[in-house]
Amino acid sequence: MGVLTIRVIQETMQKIRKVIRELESQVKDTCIIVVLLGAGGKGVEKRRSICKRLEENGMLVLIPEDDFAPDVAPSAVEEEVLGLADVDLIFVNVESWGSATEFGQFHDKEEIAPKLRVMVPHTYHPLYGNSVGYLTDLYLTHLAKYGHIYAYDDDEESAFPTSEEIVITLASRYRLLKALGKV
Amino acid sequence: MEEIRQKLKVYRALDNDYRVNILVALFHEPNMAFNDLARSLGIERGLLAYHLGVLKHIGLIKGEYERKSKKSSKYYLTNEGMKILKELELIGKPGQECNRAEGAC
Repeated sequence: MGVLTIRVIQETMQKIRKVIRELESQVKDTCIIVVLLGAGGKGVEKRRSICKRLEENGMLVLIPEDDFAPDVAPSAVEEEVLGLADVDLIFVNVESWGSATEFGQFHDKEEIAPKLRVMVPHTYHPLYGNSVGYLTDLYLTHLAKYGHIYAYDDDEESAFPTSEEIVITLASRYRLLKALGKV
Repeated sequence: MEEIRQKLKVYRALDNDYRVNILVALFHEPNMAFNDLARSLGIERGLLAYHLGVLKHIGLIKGEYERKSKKSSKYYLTNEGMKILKELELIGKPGQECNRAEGAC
């Protein structure tokens, strides 16, 4: 019911990609899909603010709480989605036990890890902070294997950037690299 | 320039087989429930939630969620969604759709 034949899908995808190439050559840029994960409550507000800034820069940004259908439990969506979906970048702001648990669940999945950019409060960063414990050790393992663990300071009391600055900087540069065909 | 960037965002959102099929399915059956969509497309529920999120975010579909009756969310095309299907010539042409019963996919 309403599902296209393989031939029609292939032809449609060719049309879509042709339009994308034409538009990209006009703006000398590309559009990437970014997902922002993190804590609820004030964390969602922070992510919404980041989302707005990235969208203004031409990126397609999703926040699970706002955008994913509520029929499926968030944890079930994230693991399936992040591995199989056509997401370019996933930013996880580990600022609560909830988001730390999320990170723990999928950090070592080969199909997810390359897209993951993890932000931790600078005191918990395995190299720059002085915290010890399971989570810091987990960050160190991920850092050693995949890289992409970033220290932030949203209180702006140190030289570390804010989480917003990290996301904007990395996403913008990634988009440029993708437009140049380097990723 | 802004219009071109917005169009690029829309077409980037369309650059996926599942998402195009979702739009076509909702054209044929507006207000389709989440579970029916998953069955119709043969897609995992988590992945469907993501693809619906992309299409909703870009304004091509809208969704409503009923909590009281414990029914699932339902989705329908927006005017923009209809426009895109016409632009891609996916509406009204015979022989485009898959009939799984006949194996014509």
